[in-house]
Amino acid sequence: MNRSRFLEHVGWTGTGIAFTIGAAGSMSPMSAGAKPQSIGFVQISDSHIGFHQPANDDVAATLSETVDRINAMPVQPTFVVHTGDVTHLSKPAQFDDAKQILGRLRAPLVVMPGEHDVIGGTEAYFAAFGKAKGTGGWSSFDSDGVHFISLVNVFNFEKMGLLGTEQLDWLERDLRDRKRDTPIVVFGHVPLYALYPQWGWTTEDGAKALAYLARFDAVTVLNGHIHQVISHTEGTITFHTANATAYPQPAPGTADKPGPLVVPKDRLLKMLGYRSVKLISGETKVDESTLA
Amino acid sequence: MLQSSAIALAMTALAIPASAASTAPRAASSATIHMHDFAFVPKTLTIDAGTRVTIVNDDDEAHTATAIDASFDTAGLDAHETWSHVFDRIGSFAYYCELHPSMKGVIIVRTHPASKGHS
Ligand SMILES: [Cu+2]
Ligand SMILES: [Fe+2]
Ligand SMILES: [Fe+2]
Repeated sequence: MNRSRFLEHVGWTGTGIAFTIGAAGSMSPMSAGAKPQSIGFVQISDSHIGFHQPANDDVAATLSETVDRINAMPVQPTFVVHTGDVTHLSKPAQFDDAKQILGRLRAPLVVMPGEHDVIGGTEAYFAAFGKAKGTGGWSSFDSDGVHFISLVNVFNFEKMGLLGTEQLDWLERDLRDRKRDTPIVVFGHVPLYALYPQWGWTTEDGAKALAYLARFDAVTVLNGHIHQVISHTEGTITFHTANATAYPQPAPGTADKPGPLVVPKDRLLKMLGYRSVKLISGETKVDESTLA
Repeated sequence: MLQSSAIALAMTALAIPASAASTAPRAASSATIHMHDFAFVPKTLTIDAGTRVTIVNDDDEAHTATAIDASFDTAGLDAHETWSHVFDRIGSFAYYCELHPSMKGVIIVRTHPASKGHS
């Protein structure tokens, strides 16, 4: 399935909103109806399709269950964002399996890569999910008065958690003319701030991106990668990392090293899931749902 | 204990005639690097040209061993998988893990001792 067919397949909702990749490289919603006063979307992360270890012997099933639960939401989210590590080893068959499951979402899907999706290069990832035109894969779009930015901080293979000059320059331009009261939501895989650098849970040049974001009244940064929920605030910027759909990792500093954490099955389901986010007149409401 | 020292003795005994027969083609030697607790062990491996290097992932997390000059790449090596490659080219090959770039190592490939003096 090529990118346009994938977007076509998952890019339609019952409310008639389609997401298209615009010529400027931004994803812009085309709404048929009146503009709602609020927006709700769902974040999922770290599905690691292809992982077969004791920490979760069926990651396809837990992603599938997550999709079922999102599809059962009485009010469908405007979109679902997957913040990376869709696959475990970037293999084409793993991307295919992931798309089979994610393709069942009723809401449109926005995807960005994690480091597990670009092992050996970015070709398999872009072949699976497409690439925003005119950029290295990062993009932004507006919906219901909110400005959404999707960053990629896993493309430099010798430094994990790096945006790079090209992307930082793009971000500065993207934000330059926006009013400070525009609510901003930023997506990216690796946490943008120094959450736990000892385990590589940081973006080396993240502070530069945060400096561009600091002048806005309300910024929400949503990341994945660490397979657990941790929230943090710096000025007007609020950060939330997400649970995985695949397996948990230890809390920072509670083990010698990061990596898949083996827990009993009933506890596992309490550590996997998705997050609903609502922005209502500038206020951000974050709701965690687990598979328990 | 007795058994293992018997094996060690046997190996020593075998090694002597092998190195003495300098004109006969030597059996290809081998070496192993472990991906262990998010590190390459040993971090620096020095081998003779023609050595088969096996890389073993001991961790539950996936890793790669990716040469900076792209001369070799394990690609994603899942937990407990192995990969091997014969290093023929002389040189120093720095590599790292794409998933955890703080994991770094070097493989130094030297001229095979048996070919010394012939070149
Ligand atoms: Cu690694
Ligand atoms: Fe992950
Ligand atoms: Fe990750």
